[in-house]
Amino acid sequence: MTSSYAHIAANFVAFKRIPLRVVLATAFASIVLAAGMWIQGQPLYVIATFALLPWVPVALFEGLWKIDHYHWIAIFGVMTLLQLGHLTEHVVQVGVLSFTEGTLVCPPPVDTMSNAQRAIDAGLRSPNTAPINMSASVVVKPGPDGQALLDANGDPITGPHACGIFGQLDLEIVHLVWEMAGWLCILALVVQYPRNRLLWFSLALATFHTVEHLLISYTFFFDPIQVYEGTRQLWGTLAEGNIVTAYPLGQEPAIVNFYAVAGKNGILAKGGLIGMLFPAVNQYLPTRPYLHLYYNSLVIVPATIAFVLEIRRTYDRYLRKALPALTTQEMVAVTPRLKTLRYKSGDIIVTQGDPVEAFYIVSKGVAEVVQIQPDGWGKPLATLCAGDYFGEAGPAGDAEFIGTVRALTDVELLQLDRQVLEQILAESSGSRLNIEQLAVKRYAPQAIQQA
Amino acid sequence: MNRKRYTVLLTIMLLLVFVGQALAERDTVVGKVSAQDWIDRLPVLIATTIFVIVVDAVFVIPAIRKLRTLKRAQGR
Repeated sequence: MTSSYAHIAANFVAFKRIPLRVVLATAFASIVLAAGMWIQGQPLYVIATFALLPWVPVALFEGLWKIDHYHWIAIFGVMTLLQLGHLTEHVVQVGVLSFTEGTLVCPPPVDTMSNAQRAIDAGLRSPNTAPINMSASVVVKPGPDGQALLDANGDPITGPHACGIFGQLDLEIVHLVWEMAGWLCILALVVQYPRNRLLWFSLALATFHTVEHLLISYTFFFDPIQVYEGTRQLWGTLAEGNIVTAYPLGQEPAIVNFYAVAGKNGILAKGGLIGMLFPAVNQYLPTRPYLHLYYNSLVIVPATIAFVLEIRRTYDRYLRKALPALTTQEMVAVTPRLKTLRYKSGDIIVTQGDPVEAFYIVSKGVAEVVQIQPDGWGKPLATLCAGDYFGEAGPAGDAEFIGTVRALTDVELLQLDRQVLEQILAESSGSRLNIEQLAVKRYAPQAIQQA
Repeated sequence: MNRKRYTVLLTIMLLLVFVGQALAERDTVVGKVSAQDWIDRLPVLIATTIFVIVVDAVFVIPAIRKLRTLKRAQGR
């Protein structure tokens, strides 16, 4: 028995914990919220936040279900998804820098009292407008003197900020935590998937990237002495509806720390360690946004390909618990054919005497098997927990349930069609033996009683 | 396209991107510090590198052992 890669991947990606109606309701809520924010004229980061918000509980519950059933490959999937989001932020940042009049001012200035007052003092803003405390999504490009750069017509050159979609999170601590989480995840994954060469490549780059961020963060958090001559860019903010524009209003001399003058460039970026120790190469080194896009691409793209390759070996761990004699290939082939069923506590799952049409594996909760005796008394036959199964035919090929299965708690089952089970058992003598031994154990008392 | 050709092509593309970006940004001036400022911070870099290598080793050594076991089992 085999399953195609598409079948295996589609099964892994499909929503198994969250019912389809909830997924559709979430999609609807997400679209309505995003549209509402767009109609209100909110900036992109607010629209994106509201579009993503309804998906958080769905992703959390579905992710936990997948981690429970697929274990490491699900953790791998969660890491890949989060890191692809991170890569997207870097791509957006560099895209804005390269193809629009984007300004690297991260995090973007906020429409605070002081920024608003500066704009009022410069005659750019009416004194009657109160600050709205939102981040600027439009930035007027500053020139070398800190004043607005003007185009040929004398108009200020305006563009978006180049800090990604969620520019407010463009902070050293966020970079550090995200990088280190990615690095530690890749380390744990290398232990699980040591044969995957792409993961080793990803790990080497992630290690170097982590050293970069640890050094940058050291200069940011532990190198605060302000001894370097520098300047501070001054911004005034204008609010129109919910859109804030940051306007450069000159520079003021300031004594700054090492991070501000060079530390933020780290090891390999222009103006960083290598660039300062070897000035000849400095001019050819990329600035920090480009360098970190390279790092992230070289870490995340191989890790994503490694994940896509590892999906080929995905199987449900409850299937393994129930039928440990199956080979990995057999478990991989069977997993997409498992259907997830849920019952509430007290529900009757199957009734004694019903034809056995499917094989069931308990993946969550507790169920009991009760056999109704001729005098009407219910004799408990077995208690089924996670990894136990029922629905196997009797030793003589009996195809009726010998007892009623009732959920004692909320129960989740994995259902396998009888034909698929027969096919597996034809190929796996070990599993056939295991199931037959259990069937003999379960059916023997009934046979003695009937005799 | 075989894997070797694909790798060569990808490497060439990456190099072109690197060179293109470096030429485009060659006049950008960043920071006003001396090499000595960075030399003063080299011990931090060394300590950071050692820390990262030690953490790497905690995971990489079991991974290599597992890989060896898998290869041995495959060889049997």
